[in-house]
Amino acid sequence: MFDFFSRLFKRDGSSATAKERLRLVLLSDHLSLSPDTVEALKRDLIEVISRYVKVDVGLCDVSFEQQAATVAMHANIPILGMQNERPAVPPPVYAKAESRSGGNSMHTSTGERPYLDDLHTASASSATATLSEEAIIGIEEANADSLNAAEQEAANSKRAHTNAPSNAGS
Amino acid sequence: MHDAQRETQDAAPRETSVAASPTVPRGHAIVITSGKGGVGKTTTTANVGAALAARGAKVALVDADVGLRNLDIVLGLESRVRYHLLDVIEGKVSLEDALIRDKRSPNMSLLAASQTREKDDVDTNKMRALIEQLRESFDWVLIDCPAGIEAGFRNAVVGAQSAIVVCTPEVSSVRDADRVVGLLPQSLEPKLIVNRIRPHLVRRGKMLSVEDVNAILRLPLLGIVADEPEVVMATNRGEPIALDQRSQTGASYRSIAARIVGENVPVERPRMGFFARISALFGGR
Amino acid sequence: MSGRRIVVTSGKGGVGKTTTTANLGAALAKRGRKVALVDADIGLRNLDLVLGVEKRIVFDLVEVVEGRCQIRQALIRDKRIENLWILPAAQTRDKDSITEAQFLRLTTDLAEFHDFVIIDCPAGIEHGFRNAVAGSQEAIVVTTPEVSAIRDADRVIGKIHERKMPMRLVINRIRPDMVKSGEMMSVEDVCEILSAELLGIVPDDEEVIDTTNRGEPIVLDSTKRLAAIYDKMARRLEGEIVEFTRLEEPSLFNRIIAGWRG
Repeated sequence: MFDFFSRLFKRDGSSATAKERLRLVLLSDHLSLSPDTVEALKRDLIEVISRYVKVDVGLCDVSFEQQAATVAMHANIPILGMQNERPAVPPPVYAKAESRSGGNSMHTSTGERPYLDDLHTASASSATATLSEEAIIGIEEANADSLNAAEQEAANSKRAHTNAPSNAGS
Repeated sequence: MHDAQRETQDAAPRETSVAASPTVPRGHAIVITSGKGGVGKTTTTANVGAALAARGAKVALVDADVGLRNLDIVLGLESRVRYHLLDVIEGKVSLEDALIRDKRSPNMSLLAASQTREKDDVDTNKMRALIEQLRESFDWVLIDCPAGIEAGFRNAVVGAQSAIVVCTPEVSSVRDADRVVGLLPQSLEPKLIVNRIRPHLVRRGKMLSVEDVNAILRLPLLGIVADEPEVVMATNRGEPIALDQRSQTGASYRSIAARIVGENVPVERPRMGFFARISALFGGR
Repeated sequence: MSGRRIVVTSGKGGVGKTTTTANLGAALAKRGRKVALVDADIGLRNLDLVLGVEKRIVFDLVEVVEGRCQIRQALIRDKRIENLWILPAAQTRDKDSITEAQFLRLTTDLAEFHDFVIIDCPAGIEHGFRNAVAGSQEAIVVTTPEVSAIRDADRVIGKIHERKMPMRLVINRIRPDMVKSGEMMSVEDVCEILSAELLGIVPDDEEVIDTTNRGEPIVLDSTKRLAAIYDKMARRLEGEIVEFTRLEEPSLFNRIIAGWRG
């Protein structure tokens, strides 16, 4: 009983705690009760982000999580590539077969057929470049496909756990 | 007084005997109900649960108040709710993933209710199966029943093996409790907790006494809890008062837990409390 | 005439809906209005008990809706207050016994010959709540300054806004001493959290328990401070701008300290 009366003199009584907890929990409640608002938010978010990067719209996900001192929004937006990429380069045109048989002429074509050397070098490097890009995008797509919803959820919750600040007491 | 004590001794439930078959769940499920809203079911569930857990038992608390969940906020766990009862029943997530472990009471876990769904969404058979599943890994499963006598009530009761009826010493509450007792399966052998008693008012004849209440309900008395402001403060903070060693109300919940596990603890009468002192300052009205 | 149809609701049980319905209704009747109180808590009726008419029930609203009696036969006239009538709920049925359309028809019929039809809503947000709201044009939301009650009130306010119904708030069971010591949320805190217009502030009063025991609404005794508070609420409901009663009693606080210090 003594303790109660001594607490009468304290400034921060339990009502301040209650008020803050209510503010957060009601925010969380309101968000989960407004699926239309959340959908609109998600659409707008994807639209804005798509100005800068290409996203996999079907796998985009937005969720809200109440943490110790705040409500946080988590967005998982799989990115497929940059927007405004350089225009695709047409595939190289290879020279006809007979030009190849003159192997000597190729190697000693510093003067006679310099463009063939250049072409050869150019086509070789652009082929490498194209291959890498395609390979990369292919890998990304493969990743996007293979990450099923459950794994994404696990990834999200892992992220959530690392994000949530440690709290001594609620 | 003696009758109440004798009733208490008879009321103390025996230890559940474990059947030979390993598939029979070992835990005991209790539904906490009242009929009338706002009499302290959720507070009772939270505190009896915390008191049982403090004694070393493994306790699961289930909030069956779909749409108006409050067990989470009374326990201070509202910021940790990710999944809820319907997520488990509908197979979206495992029971293990949905249960929230209370850091202050590591033996206690909470299964929250959904805030955005309705009580009618709960499939009764699946609810029963869920409670049985919980009984396999917990010693005690306490089910916080919503107010009313409709689907929410029916779903909370299914799967329970005992019932606690919470009643305040007010005519509406007693009447609703009586109705609920009539609707509970007899096999649940309901027991009574009289909540929010104000002994100074009882003494002045301005409030029903425990005997008045039980003359109508005629249930074994499990406990009496006084009306004290510290309960509101504890809820504000999200800390079950059963864990406060200095609190009289906490002590009441702890002795209720003792009786539940089978100890012969006589039901104590709450002492003159805060409200009585205030009342006395007004010239002993 | 078409009277106003008002639901008294809360979400959370036990915060004082029935007490508010009974006393506000009685206060309006004392001001000369024709008031019908409807208990929508089918299966767990309590309005009759709070008003002390439980022994006079002959028919209930389910029987009216099912056509087994006239409304007039079911309405119970209050013997102490002129112009106050009560339509009790059924006790042996449940809330699924009536549809929203039936409830609307019932309250509309009652509004034909009453200035106010006040509906005591059951706890929760299910069928019983939906029925009560379907039959109303306005809402009074009752809450106490406690975390669970406010959370539930917030949910209910959301549902009322969806239906675009005008709504006002009653904060019940305020304890000024605990507000002052910071252990209970204040009226301002609650209004801020819920963003609602206030209809009334009712202090916690032990007399309510006693009067409910006796089935006598507290407003019957005009010397009681709560009677004045409900009267002010009635006046506000009718559009008057009335100042809220100051509940803070500085002398009480000082007396606690003095008493404790001995």
